[in-house]
Amino acid sequence: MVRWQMSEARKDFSTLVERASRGEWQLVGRRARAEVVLADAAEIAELLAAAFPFAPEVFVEKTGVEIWLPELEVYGQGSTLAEAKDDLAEAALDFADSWETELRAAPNQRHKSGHVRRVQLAHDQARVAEVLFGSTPVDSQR
Amino acid sequence: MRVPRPSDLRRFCVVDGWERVADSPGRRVSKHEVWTKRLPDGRALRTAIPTGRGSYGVPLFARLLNSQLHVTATQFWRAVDQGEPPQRPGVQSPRPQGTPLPFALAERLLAAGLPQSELAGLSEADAERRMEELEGRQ
Repeated sequence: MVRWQMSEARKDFSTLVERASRGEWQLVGRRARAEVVLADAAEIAELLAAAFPFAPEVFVEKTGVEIWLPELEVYGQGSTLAEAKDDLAEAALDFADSWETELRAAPNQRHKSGHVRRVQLAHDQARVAEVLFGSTPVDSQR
Repeated sequence: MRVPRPSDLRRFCVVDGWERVADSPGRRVSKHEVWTKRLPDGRALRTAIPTGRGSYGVPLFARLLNSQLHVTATQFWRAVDQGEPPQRPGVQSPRPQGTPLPFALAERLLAAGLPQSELAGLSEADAERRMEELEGRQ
C-alpha cells in the first residue's frame, strides 16, 4: 500500500487515481498519519455489501404494497410491488442526502453510516434498487 | 387499529413542532415532503410524507410511530385530533407488530403467478408453503 504526503498527492493526483482504480489503496496524510484513503469504489461497495446487508420487509395490503427498510427506517409505497420498490429506492436516496447533511451526528442516526454509504455509492435510483433488493428485476409485475 | 392519511401525518408534524425541509438548489427534487425534528436528548427525527393522496397499512404505521416519530399511537392521535403535542419518554415505544414478507419471497411468488391480492396477510411460513406448492406444479 502506498502512502503519500499531502503535497505529493496534490501534485500527482492522476497517478493516485490510476493506482486506486487498479485496486491499490492510496493513503494520503500529513506526516505519518493517514487521513484519507483513495480506493476503487467497486471494491468499497463490495466490502460494504458484505458487512451491511439490507432486508426490506414487504406488507401487501388490499390497497397496494408497502415496503419498510429497517436499516434506514424509510418506506416505499405503490399499487404494485414494482412501484413500491421504485418508491423505496427514491426514499433511500432522499434519506442518504438528509443523513449526510443533517442527521449523521445524532445518536439515533449515526449507526446507519454503512448502509447510507452503500446507497451513496450506488448513486442513481436503478442502482440503489439493485443494492436494496438484489439484481432480480420485478418488471414483469409492472 | 386506526391508520392515518398523509394529511394526518402532516398535522402531527405541525402540532409537534417539526420543521419542513425546503427543496433547495442542489438538493434532490423528491415527490415526498421531508420533515425533521431535534429532541432535547440529541435524537434527530425525520419523516417523509407522500404529496399525493393515500393511506398507510397497520404494520407500516406501527413502524412509523416507533422508528420515525418516536411516539405511541395514542400520543399520535391526541396530537392530530386534539392538538396536544406528545411528551416523549427517554426510551422508544415497544417493537411494532406485523409480520413482513422478505422482498425476494414476495417477488418469487408474484413471478410464479400468485395474484398480489392473495399475498395480503400471509405469514412468511404460509408464503413459503405457497411457494412450494407453486413450484411443485411447475
